[in-house]
Amino acid sequence: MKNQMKNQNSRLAFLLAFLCTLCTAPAQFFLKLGTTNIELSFQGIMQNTPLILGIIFYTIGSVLMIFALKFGDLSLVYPTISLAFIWVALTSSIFLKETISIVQWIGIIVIILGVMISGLSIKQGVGAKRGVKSD
Amino acid sequence: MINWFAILLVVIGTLIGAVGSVFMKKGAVKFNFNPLDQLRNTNLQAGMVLFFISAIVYIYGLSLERLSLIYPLTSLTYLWVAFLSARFLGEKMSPRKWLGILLIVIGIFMITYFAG
Repeated sequence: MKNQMKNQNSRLAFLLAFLCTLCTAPAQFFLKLGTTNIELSFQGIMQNTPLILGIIFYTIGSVLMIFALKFGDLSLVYPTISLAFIWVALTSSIFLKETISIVQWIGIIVIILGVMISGLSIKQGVGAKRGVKSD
Repeated sequence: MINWFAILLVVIGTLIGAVGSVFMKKGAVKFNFNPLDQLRNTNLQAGMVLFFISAIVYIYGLSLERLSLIYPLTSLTYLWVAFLSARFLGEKMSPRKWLGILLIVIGIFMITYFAG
């Protein structure tokens, strides 16, 4: 039963980490927008919508990550965060008209595989329950 | 010409960030939305401070060398985190998890280094 609890928590942790990447990716995008030719005055910063949006998204993402860590191992949550790289590449291609090279597409697939394999370890709990030694 | 000092800075920055993640994990266990409790959550605070320091170190390294060289190095964080979480958080690493991490590092390198 303890393994089932851990499995449910791990799934929740994965979901939270996934949601976190949906926040940190636009955060990076907005921060990039907001810090190019930044106006370093109080008024400048207050009127810097991208910068403010970036900070807000980053804060929400951080809270989500902390909650993910509450429920799951760091070695599960952290690899999941790498998905943000994929979102950043995709949004850069859509909004900034940057082309995605073939190597980058392969890299995207490789990251997804890596995250899936890291997350597959969640199922080890089921194996351990039946006395099967998990790797 | 590669600015190796910049590379070193970024590598150190990622390591500091990874250590920060370990503290964040320890602090996350006790996290709630009560500010009074969090004022005593030293692990969480240490994690945040380390994140901040790693960002400064990273940005400094970034100012000295091209983004196309520096950005791929951020994938190192995932290696550090894997080692540190096994060593200091008692999390069980398995060959499968190591494979996953390796793929992520390779994948990040492919996305960031070969930017069209």
